[in-house]
Amino acid sequence: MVFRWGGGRGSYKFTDPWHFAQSKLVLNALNLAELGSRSCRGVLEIGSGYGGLAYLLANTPKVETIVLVDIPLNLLTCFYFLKRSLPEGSNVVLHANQESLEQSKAQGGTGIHLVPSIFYASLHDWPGLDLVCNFASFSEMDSETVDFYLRGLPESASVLLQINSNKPVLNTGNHTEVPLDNFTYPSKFVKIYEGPCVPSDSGKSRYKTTIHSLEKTSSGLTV
Amino acid sequence: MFPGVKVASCAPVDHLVPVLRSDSRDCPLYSLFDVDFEQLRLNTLSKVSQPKFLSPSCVATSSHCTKHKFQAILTLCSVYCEAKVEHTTIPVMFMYVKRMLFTRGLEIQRVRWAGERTLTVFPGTGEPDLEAVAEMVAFLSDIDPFYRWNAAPQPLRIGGAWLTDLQSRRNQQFVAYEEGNLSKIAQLHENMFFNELIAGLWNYGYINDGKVDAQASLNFQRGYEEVLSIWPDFADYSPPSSLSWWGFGFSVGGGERFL
Repeated sequence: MVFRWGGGRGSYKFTDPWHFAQSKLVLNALNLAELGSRSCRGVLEIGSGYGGLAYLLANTPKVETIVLVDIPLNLLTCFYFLKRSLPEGSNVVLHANQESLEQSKAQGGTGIHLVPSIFYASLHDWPGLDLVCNFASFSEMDSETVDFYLRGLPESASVLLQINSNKPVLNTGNHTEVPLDNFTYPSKFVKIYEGPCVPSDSGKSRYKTTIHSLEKTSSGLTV
Repeated sequence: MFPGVKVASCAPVDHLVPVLRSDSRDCPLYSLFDVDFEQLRLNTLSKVSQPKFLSPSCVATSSHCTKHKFQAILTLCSVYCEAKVEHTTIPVMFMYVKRMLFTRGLEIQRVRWAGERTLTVFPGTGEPDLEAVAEMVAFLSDIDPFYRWNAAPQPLRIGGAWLTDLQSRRNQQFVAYEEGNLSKIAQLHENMFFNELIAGLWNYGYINDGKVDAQASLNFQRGYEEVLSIWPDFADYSPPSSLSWWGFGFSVGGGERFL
């Protein structure tokens, strides 16, 4: 085996540890949620990125529904990546209006759904979004935006998984990071896990991983 | 598994490994690992050209097993430092770990990589997806890239410095959509890992004018080793090859080195 650094394709296997670690955390968090007895197969990711996590989750039989929320430019990058990367015929839906969202909800919502953030409130009654996750973007938002997302979590959500900064280090002049310990979490959620960011590569030492869960779900765990 | 936490009676969670407890600040690190330090030292001495110098690059040339265990130690040491100890005590922890390894014939040294490297760009496989692009263009007839004419709740509005920054950072993308040339849009997305489309979405580094900060390779490698030490099946994973990638990777059976 020869390790390489550069660009290429074909027989060379390039790596993406960041999203691989996220997918493991998501799957294990879903398993934790299932200790509350019911089957958990839906994931809402706030901040789609380029679609690295969605691609990994789409390739696991456990996850049936993936809803990705982001601003339009990121969503389009993500959409093209997923369309080019997943097998032809994969159910990847780019939602441009409320009607399209309602239609998907009525059909059970399986597949991958890319939703502009302005429609976030419409996800409130989306069925089976058991886990909500955010990786490295909440802390880059304003407090009021994070509050907006956390207040509007889907009714079906029982687990909130995140990796975000917990120190207000990054200051771009017009925005200072919001530490995740300062977020206002819905009162029905309790923190069941707190740990370091993995991978802890450069620039992420101030980040940490947390899992919040509905109290009834977390009661079966010893942490 | 979730590093740093002890989960009891939790069968569905896979890959549970020994982890550090938050209340055990003076826990002897080596007792947590199934590592024969003498064997590790001998293995390392026989594998690397500079026996007392273990950098990520020469660790990568030692045997997979040795590298794996060694990286696990470093990873969990860093986990210990970052999660459980105040920042001011990290140098103390580092010295402790360094001394512990030194007594066993190993030395940790910081490797500084500087400068920029030029990357060769390779095309992806298959044809650009023009149907997907057409769908994207149709999407933009309903949704403005910056929500300028869409009703958006106040907390979600893109304005002020953020709008200016986004317009500047994603200018090519925005202009391509405005022009509406499907082939041009497709080409931009085909090369997304090599242009501005990945800006803000990629954890390791960015390419500017075909060059990337050399530090990015170290970021990739650290991430690779750390994740592999926790989830061994990471060795079997590679992202899709439909689009051209760059970064840290490996080939089985050799191949030219780019940088």
